[in-house]
Amino acid sequence: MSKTARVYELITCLVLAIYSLVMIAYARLNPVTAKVRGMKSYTFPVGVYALMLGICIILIIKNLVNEVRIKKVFSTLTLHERRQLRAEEKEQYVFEPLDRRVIITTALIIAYAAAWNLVGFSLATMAFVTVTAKVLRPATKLETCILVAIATTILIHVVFVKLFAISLPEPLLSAILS
Amino acid sequence: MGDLSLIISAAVGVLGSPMTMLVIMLGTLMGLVFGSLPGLTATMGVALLIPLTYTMDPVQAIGMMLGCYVGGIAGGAIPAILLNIPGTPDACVTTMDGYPMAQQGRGAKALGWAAFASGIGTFFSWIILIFCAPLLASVCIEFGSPEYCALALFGLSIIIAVSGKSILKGILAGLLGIGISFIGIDPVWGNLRFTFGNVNLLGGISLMPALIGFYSIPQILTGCLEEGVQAKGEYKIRLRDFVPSLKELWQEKFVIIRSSAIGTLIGAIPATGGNIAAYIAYDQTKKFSKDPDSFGRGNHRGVISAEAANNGVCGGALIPLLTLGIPGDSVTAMMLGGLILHGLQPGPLLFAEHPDIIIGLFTTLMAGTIFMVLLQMFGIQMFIRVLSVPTNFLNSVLVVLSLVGSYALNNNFFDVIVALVLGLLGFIMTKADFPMAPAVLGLVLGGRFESEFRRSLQISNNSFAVFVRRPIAFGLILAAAILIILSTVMHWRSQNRAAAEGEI
Repeated sequence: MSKTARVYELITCLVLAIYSLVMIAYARLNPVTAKVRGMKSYTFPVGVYALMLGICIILIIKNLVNEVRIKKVFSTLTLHERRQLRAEEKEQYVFEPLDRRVIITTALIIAYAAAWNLVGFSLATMAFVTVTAKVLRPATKLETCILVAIATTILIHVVFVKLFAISLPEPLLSAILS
Repeated sequence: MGDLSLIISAAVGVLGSPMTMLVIMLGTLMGLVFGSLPGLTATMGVALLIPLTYTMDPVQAIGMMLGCYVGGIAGGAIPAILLNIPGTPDACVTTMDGYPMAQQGRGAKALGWAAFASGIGTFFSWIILIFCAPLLASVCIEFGSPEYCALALFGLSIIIAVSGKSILKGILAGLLGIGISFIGIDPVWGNLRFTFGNVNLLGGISLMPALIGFYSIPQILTGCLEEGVQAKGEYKIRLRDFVPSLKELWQEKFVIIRSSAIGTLIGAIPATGGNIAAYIAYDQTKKFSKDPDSFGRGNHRGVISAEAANNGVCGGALIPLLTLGIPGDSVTAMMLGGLILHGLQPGPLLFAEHPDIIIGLFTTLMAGTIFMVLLQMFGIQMFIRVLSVPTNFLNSVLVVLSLVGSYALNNNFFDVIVALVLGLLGFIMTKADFPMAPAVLGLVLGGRFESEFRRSLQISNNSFAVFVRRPIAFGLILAAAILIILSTVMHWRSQNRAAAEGEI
């Protein structure tokens, strides 16, 4: 497994371990009792979360042990040997940080979702599609990005709002139009 | 003789009416559109169609709804294959081999197999519906909490088979899905659990936003690194690239029939659905295959089994609906409402009182299936064009569709937040080689397993013997145990093979 995958595995296991701990704590702090037959309300979920926590701990330990072992191997390599490593071998020792485009796209998606309730779906969509398309491929003409953004917004509005009667949030437009 | 002439005249009456055919085709087209858009489901499609059918003849109305149902289930495969985003929960399994096929330039073939397998799956379930409906209905009516619990366990046991490289990671992903299903109202006691005082969590986490989160967002974030177009391949395809030859169909006969039978049987059991049927069929096909390691890397048999099974559910789910008046899933529940609106009360009497309607229903289901395959055949040029759209536009439009799809189900912004949070978690998990299929399986079946397990213990006064005493439940538990052992052995062998190849 590559160093990058190992780092993400550690992050995932830590997140899931914290999640299961929070859920177990919630169950302990909010007990529900009833005089009925059968299993209690929280018994089964707590069992599942405990199992989840157990597996996370096993994976974290395995991950750390593996990390120490690989680091040891890496430290024995000479500078020349490190340079001679093939790409797939290098993957084992070197962490590859997230690409800038992924970080920007993630930030744009979060900002886009937040903008729904501020400026409304239509304006947010037009801005989001234009900016994302341009950021992901700067060579694309701005006019093309704007045209695609307008077409997308109109198409989704027609299909979802007009045809399927789904009311998407439009606080700004409805305030202007009213 | 009189019966036969009645059947023939009723069937000819349906097939000979251009209006009925047009209505069925429109219903099927709408189903395909709904199925192929993530967030829109066949249930929503049928619900929107019901008001349009008010003025129609009952057979036309049923035909339109059935066309939408069949099209909606089959349409989910289109984005699953082309974009790795299942259009409906039933198409999750199709992504596993369909998307790798599209990436290898075999997108048209994958879509062709999906369309034909869906068609044959529905056709198979149609035959079973006609001939075995009363028998299957009598078996399924015997199902109580222990049987449902055992069935859910059987479904969950597939987690091992779809775990990929690490069983432990697969189990952890499955437990995450099960854990999410606990949020909301306790199905047995009725108290609130894990809601943290948030009103939006009272109803639990909806499946569609979770699905969009686990599948769509990670795919978009991974895809934004790709330059140019989504995949290599020929976009000007010929019909023969899409349509499997008779020889190819004959070679896959066992896969298709086995998967269709699994789909029909699972569909006949109320409250199961196409998702679990597809998982079970996929797992069985993999187990019977001489090359199980090729699954998940673009094996067309993976697409065939998933699609034949999830469409086999269509005819299967109609069995309890028509014979007992029990809807098997949300779509058939919607159709029950539609039938009642047209003055038809499904149940044993429907067969005796309205044989013409029953024959009309059978005929329209068949017509809908044929339209579904034909529409996909002639729409293929349009569908495959998706692959030639520049990734920067495709990804930005997919983000919009994913968030709208999450929102559209309940008109609730909270679902968008759920999709985003699970999407980011899904992205990190994907980077760490965690499989996503077990998480969805856990989410779909976890709640069901827990509630039926606890109900079984309640009725048996906390005795586990209830699962042994009932033959169907015991048989299913035994089958689940065998499945787990077989999957573990296969996984172990596959790991050993991979290690040996690595050494060479």
